[in-house]
Amino acid sequence: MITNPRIKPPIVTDELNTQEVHAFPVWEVFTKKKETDAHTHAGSLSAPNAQMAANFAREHYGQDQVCCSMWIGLRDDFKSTDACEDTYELFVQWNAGDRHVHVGQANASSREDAETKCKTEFVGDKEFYTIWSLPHQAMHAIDGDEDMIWRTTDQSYRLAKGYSKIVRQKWDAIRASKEVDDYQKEDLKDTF
Amino acid sequence: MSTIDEATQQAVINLCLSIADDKLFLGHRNSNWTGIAPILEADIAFSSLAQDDIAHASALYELAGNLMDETADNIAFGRKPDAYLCSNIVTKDDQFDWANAIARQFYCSNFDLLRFERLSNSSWSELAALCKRLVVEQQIQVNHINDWVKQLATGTPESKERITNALNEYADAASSMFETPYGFDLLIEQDVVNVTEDIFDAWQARIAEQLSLVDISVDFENTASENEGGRSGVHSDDFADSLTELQAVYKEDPAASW
Repeated sequence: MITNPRIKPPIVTDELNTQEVHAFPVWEVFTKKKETDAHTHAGSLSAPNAQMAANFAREHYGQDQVCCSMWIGLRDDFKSTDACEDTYELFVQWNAGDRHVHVGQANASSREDAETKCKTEFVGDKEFYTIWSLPHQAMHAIDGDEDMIWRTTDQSYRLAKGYSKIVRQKWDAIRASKEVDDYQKEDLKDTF
Repeated sequence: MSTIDEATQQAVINLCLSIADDKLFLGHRNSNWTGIAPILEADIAFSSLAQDDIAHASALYELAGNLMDETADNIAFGRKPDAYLCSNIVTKDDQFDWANAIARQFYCSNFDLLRFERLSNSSWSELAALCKRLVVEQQIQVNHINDWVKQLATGTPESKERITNALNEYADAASSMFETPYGFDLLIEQDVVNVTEDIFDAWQARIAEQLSLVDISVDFENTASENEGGRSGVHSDDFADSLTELQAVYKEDPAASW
């Protein structure tokens, strides 16, 4: 018999003796919708390692909209103050509440140095809210060209707009089956 | 496959249905995890992969539907129990034990990838074209699930023990995937299915390769040719439970349009 967990939760024995897993580290995920777009912060997730973070990011943030490339970085690597000579990926949040957008790269000796260079090279006199930077070597990338993210089979059911088309078709069908006068009589006209 | 006689057509339909039914029931079983998977990210990702399985099933039902002059929905939900051709492993109750769900998916995903790779060279061009697309998507699922097996096998002593037990528990049922649907020999003759290497051996090699990375070994025996199972319409009680759940809404009003 199938035990439906919503009606009858599976019986868990020995639950209190299960070894507790420490909270997984948090990863920041950036997605790119099409080639001409910049990578934009999509959100974060927790995962035990980079490989699982990439697997989760692919399903979590790669499937809710068209996506051709993803970047993933450990949150701690965005905050690290250790000196690290590298090419840094630079992300600017222009206004509070905006998503961080990739603006470019800079060779720098530390995160602080990278953010200073970001201000001079990419921000200038413009107003901005915050800057994030990540050493390139700490970044994990999934390139949709070589490693598919967005699927080729029909995925429209995953998107909210996938439903709106069907709903519209239904209303069109209902409207076509009734006289316009009927609608006016029922005072439903405004609904459409 | 230039001209298609009636016997070949039925064999081709059986082939599509056997794969699609596996995917539909597996996707349905996995979707039961939505909301209760062990961690949030797994909940989202496993649900997403279940959607992929059902999308693949849907594409194959449409292909079969063209030959049967029937809609994908009617084929998916409207058949009698013995007309479903899925293997027994896909409906085997996982008892809501995550290790069981991962073991089941690990065996099935790797098998599906092999099937799609082989059918990409099919002489039936429509099937070959579809399977070429599905191979790429299936590879994502295989990578994901292989990582899960690795993760559980290298986590804690408890997780290693539980995934090892689950892999062993599902080993017998895995054999059911290799039963061939009626008319399969005809498809080999017509090059609809290419058989270069025995698919059981190829599958076992891939599974063993993954498991050797984490120092687990499981013995498999291919008993599919000895007894009639799901591919012949002979199903388990677990299948009957799944089917009832799956058809519940459809049966309320089969003619309803969605």
